[in-house]
Amino acid sequence: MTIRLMIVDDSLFMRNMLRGILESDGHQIVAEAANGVEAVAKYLEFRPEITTMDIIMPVKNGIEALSEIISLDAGAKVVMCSAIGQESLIQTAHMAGAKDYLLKPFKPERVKEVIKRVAGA
Amino acid sequence: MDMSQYRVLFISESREYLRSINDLIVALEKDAGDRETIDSLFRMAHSIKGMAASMEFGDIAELAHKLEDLMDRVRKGVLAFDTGAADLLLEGADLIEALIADIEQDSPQSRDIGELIQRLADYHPPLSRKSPQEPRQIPDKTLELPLPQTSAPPLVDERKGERRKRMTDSPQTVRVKTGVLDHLIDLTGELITNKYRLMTISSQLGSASLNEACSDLAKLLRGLHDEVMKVRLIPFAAISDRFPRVIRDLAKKSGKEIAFEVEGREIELDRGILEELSDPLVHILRNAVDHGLEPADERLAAGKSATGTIGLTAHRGNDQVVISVKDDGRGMDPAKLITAAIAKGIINQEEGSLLSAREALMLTCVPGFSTAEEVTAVSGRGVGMDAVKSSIQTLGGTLQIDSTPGKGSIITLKLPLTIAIIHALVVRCAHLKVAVPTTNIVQTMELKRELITTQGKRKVFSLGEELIPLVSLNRIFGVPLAPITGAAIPVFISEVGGRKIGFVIDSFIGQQELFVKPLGRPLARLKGLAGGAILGDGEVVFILDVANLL
Repeated sequence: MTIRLMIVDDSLFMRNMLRGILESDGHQIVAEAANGVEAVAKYLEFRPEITTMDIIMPVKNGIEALSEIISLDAGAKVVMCSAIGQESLIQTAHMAGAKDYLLKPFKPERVKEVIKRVAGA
Repeated sequence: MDMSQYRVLFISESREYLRSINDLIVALEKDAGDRETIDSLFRMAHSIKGMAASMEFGDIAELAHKLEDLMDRVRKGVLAFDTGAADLLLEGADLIEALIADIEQDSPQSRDIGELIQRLADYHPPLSRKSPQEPRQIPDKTLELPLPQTSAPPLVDERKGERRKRMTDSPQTVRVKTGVLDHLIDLTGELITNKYRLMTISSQLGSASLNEACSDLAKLLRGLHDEVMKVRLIPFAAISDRFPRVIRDLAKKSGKEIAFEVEGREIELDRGILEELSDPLVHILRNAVDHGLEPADERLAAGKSATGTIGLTAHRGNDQVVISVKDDGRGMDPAKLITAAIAKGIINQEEGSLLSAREALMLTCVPGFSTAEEVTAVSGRGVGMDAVKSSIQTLGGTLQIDSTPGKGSIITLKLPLTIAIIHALVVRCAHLKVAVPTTNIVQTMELKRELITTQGKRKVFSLGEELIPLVSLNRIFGVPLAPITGAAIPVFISEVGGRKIGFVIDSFIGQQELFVKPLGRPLARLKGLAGGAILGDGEVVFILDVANLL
């Protein structure tokens, strides 16, 4: 099953890597964004099925962007990405409507599994 | 998962972050309360950590993690950002850069990161006299905000059109390998050479339709050339942004107080020129710090402010980019330079007496010349102004020095906008065709014989109030001189070492664009030649490096 995804991360390296993992699993990346403001705008334009959202980003951080997206589309499926050691942020994101989270560095199998699970939910 | 495919991107993106980190640390030292800079530093260290961890570069990840931690303490107001913190962060950034260079060159070195990691973790600023500078209380933009409770959602559909328009308006960018850009300019250059070949054939055939096609081709090529040049342009900031860090380090080493100002960061230059410009500029800045600026006590005694000022400016001139480095230091005295040069046996007494003030200043660019009384830790012995001058000239540029004793010096570099494809005047000397870059030509003229006079052994003529020496290009190349016919001789005037010289040639052939190619060995070692190019008729011409001809 092909899932349409948007990747949000301020690092091109991270976006490329995540794209590599997801595309190898047959998914389609419909948009990429490098900060929270871009993420909200592109969410509205592309309406991805799932959005992966980095937390620490310039201009507008991932949690603010998540809240804004949820306020615009209550059914939005957003998976947060975060480094180990920031579990408190994941908690906050969960309360703001994030469906799941991925820890960096990404483990391809875990990424694929989480995306499938969130898509099926 | 095969991570090797992401290696190049890891290296380039990490370096971008490191560059910004350097700039931001230096900026933060000037304004330690700037919340946005603090946040950016934190975020960039965090990004490097994440990337390095993904690549399984443990040392880099660990170092970046410690930099992030330190910045986090600053962010939270636990730690004041002071010089000690700046030094540690810069040291950390340098070590990460070294580790990245190892990865790039595939040569893992055993570098001790443990010691620095310990110092980063243990860092506590010494108790300061006044209370530490608190970060300005601006609501934390990046993290740990109470979540905004959903207010009325914006009316999405009404705004959608506007939003989409805004997104298409914003310039989209792509990353291109620099090798591709170099290849594009090479191809464009070859096309231009080919255009001249077609034009030559067309005029031989006398075909009107071929002629028309050629002139259309010429128009299209001009467009292509302009666009290719544009994508190769990079703002001056690409190199100038690292100079504040350079100056900061130099200031620390020399114990001088320095205010550094950069103007014209946005001025765009060809990538090829910009890359070659960095080292010469660092040399010039170094000299300004070391030889130009006086120590604080000397400045105060001279009635100046204790802090010396160095200004770096870039601006666009006519078909040129002008870059200058100005200091308000002790300046240079032409008379002293001449005395020193005579003492060192670089020139003799008589030559010394003939030098103008500007020519005397250029003595600093003669190999082996230095006015520094002692070797210093910063710039060593009068660090290679000769090397600086020759690299600027190799780029087709010129270097000029102005100085007022007691007031300071200005070094001015004038550079062409591009090096690969140039406009040149093709001239004839006996059987030779030679191309002179138009940027190196002040004026061309048909000089009436009766205006030429003799001064000592030299032939000269006056142009306005200036007396200009004449030199035969034929004689320089060792080709036969043209028989004397006609009342006027063709001359082009160029500036050599700050002085105008009239070059006598046999005839002007015409102006055209040339695709400059390096000469290769052994021709590249010939003084006075900047490269070669192919004319439309297939003939090879040498491109003159006027500044190094004499």
